[in-house]
Parts: sequence; C-alpha cells; structure tokens
Amino acid sequence: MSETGMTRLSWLFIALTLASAVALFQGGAPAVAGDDHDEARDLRQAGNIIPLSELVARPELLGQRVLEAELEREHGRLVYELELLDEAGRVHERYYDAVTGQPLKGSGED
Amino acid sequence: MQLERDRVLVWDPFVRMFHWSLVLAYLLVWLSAEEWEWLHEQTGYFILVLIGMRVLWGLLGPRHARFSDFLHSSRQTLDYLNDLRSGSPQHYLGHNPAGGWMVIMLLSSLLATAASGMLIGTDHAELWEDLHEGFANFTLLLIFLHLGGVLLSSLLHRENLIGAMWSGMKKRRNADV
Repeated sequence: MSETGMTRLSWLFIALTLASAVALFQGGAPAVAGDDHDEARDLRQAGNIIPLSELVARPELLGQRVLEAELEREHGRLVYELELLDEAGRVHERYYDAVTGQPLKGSGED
Repeated sequence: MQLERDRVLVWDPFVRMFHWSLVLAYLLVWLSAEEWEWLHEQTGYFILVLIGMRVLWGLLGPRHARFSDFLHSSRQTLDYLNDLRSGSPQHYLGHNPAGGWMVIMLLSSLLATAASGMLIGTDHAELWEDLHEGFANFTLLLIFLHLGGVLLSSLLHRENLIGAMWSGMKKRRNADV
C-alpha cells in the first residue's frame, strides 16, 4: 500500500476507535448507579433487600468481625459482599444474594 | 550534524493515538476500580477495543507498527539484553527486541485482566476477582518496567523516546536496523 493510503487507513482506525468510545460512554452513568449508600438505603426501606444487620447476625457469622461490607450489582443481581476476619485471624470474603439472603458460590473459600 | 531529512516518521497516527489513549484509559480504569462500577466497566470495554484494533494494526499497518517488524526470537532478544548490559546496544528505528516483547506482554496482560474482570459475577466470583486483581497488578508492574526501559534506552542513545511517541518522528542513524 502507498504511504498516503496507509496514512488514510491509520486515520480510519482512529475514527473507528473514537466512535467506539462515544458508543461506550454516551449518556453517562445510569441513574441507578448513583450514590451507593442512598441506593442501599432506598432498596432496604422499600423492602427489596434484607438489611445488612440481619445478615451479620447469622449464626455462621457469629464471632467474625466485618471488615468491609459492600452492596454490588453483579449482572443485574444485587449481592452483599462481606470481608470478614474470623477468630483465627484469617481474612475471607462471603457473598450473599441481597434479596433472598442465600449464600452464593465463591463464598467461604479462601 | 543531523540533517532535517534524517528525521523520519516512525509511529503513524493510529499507533500514537492508541498509545496515549491506553495510558489515559488505564489511569481511568485503575482509579475507578471498586468506586465507579459503570465507568470502570465501560473503560474496560474500551481497552478491549483498543487491544483489538492494535492487533489488527499489527497485521496490516505500516512497517514499524507490524508485529513482524518488532518480534524477535528469544535468542536475538537475549543477545540484545546482553548488549544492553555492556552499555552499547544496537539502535533500532522501531521497537528494539526487548521493547517488542514488552508490547506483547502488555497486550496479553491487559487482555487477561479484562477477560477475568468480565467473568466476575458468573460462578466462582471470588476466583475471578482474585485473578482480575492479580493481572491488574501484573500489568502495573509491566508498565513500570516499560517506563524503565524507555528511560534507559533514551539515555543510552541520547534520544527522547517519549517525545517520539508523541510526534511520531525519530532521527535515523547510519547503523539502524
């Protein structure tokens, strides 16, 4: 290919890349992804998810310190992600479905 | 004395846009991790687009953008690293053999980071999350090695490689390959 042809192709690649960036970022973040705390509070008050306090009071979590608790949307599913410190001093993570309270796969393994 | 005609275009517009977009995107994806999920994921997809376009460009782009221009055998690469240690490595107009392998490692590590990130939320979330973090950190390590290589090569050959990635222009040397 000639040098000018190659330069044109180079700019075409730039245009395609920028177009994909526009497609990916247009519209900005969806409204539901607003402030995590507000969203968590709203969902809990509407009775859509179980309260975090109910989760950490479970027998299997007794004696464990909650280092970090997050409510996340994983592929449309609301998930509580808990980082726990057990009595032996080990840190591990557990995942719970925030609607049903069911433990999820990947839980407890370290 | 170097003449103006010895300045040649080495990095075409797409290679330069790719490089600096990736720098910006990696910064964005790193800072948004665990904070702004939407931004983090969209930037991750954008990095995948960048990688895909670069791989395509590596097959059909101009000379110095092509994988065939900068991929060398392990023997040649080790020889280059030995010369580097002695302080007088061969000057390459495009990527040198070590730089060429760095391109491949960075692209692969970014691809692995993106792929494992997309698998979080399927089964074995914790496993994918650990892998995602591991590859992200490994990529960061590669970036620091890349910066070290660029700095070392710039000093040894007395040329500004960062400026060259911005303008695309480098000075040709008599013994260039």
